Amino acid sequence: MKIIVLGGFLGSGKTSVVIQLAKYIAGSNPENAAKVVILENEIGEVSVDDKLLKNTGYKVENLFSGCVCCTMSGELVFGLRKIIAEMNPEIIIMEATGVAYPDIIRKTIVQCVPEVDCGVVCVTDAKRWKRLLRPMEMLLKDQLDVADVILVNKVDMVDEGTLAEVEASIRTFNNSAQFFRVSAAGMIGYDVFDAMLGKAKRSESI
Amino acid sequence: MKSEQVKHHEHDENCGCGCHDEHHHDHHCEPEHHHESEHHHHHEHKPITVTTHDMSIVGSYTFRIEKSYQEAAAILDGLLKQVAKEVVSRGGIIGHIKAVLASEGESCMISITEEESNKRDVKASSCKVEGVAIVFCVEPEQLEGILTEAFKAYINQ
Repeated sequence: MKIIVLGGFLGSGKTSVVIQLAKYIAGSNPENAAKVVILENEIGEVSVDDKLLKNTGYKVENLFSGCVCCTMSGELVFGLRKIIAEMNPEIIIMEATGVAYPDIIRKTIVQCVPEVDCGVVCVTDAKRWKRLLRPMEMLLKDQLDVADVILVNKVDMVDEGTLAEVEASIRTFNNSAQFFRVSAAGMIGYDVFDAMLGKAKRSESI
Repeated sequence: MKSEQVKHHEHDENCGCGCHDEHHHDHHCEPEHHHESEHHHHHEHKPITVTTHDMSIVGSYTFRIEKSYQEAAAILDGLLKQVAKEVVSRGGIIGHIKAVLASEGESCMISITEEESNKRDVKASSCKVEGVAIVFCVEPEQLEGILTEAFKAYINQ
């Protein structure tokens, strides 16, 4: 079983990526929807993304009202154990909050649910990157530096020169990840999803 | 404006707040580091609540717009833009401001007293809004004030 932790700053496009990734995994056969479970984590007193995702037809579990990377790590482990026991999907997509630190989530998963293969994907916002970099640098850095795959999203909203600058800047935080330029508002290429699922494909031949 | 925010902002030695150009600490969030949500103004059923989560200020809101879905969507779009503008004008940084608008939709009542049914359509004219505004570098009280001001026409509907 594979868990993909999808991190990235607020508004970077994580939910849009989740929806397309789930569709890619499940394919067009509705029966395959059971292959994937989306685990959603949101902060705030009301959920928003959860309502959007539940309309997609995939199984969505919610860890609500707190960030799983710290105070709710117990709920994360409990939630994962429950999903594994009751649903046994091939893939769990865990959408982190926009202020979460994916390295902590991965540590928790590796320590407490060692039987699953955990990958980290970070979604970045090409349009807002320069504006956010200075005030949010430490958070952005910590979100990026453990990512196996980095998606530079919203590439349709910036020119090529800006995009090159943004990507170079992102690479200063993590140059070892696989990089993809995407526009999650449109169609994301299958090669991107293959990279996100890479380890699972190699070990489990989905 | 930025320096004004610095004065109002509480930090400790582990502060990872990026609001302060002169104030960049290493922020290595270890498992023992707690992103505790500190509830400032939380009461059950309050239309607007503001909490803090690590360095983010999280405003949650729920209210109704007594209009058709199309009208309510346009109104909500304007309200959220107003919130965004106010946050920026106070030196804040927008993380994500988002809301779900749900129309009650058209409904009908069907009644039968003998063999024939009687159907009456009910046109929806009310929408429910649920959303969050996650921002940085403003005080919780400031965000609460911004949200209250923006949504005041709808909170007591």
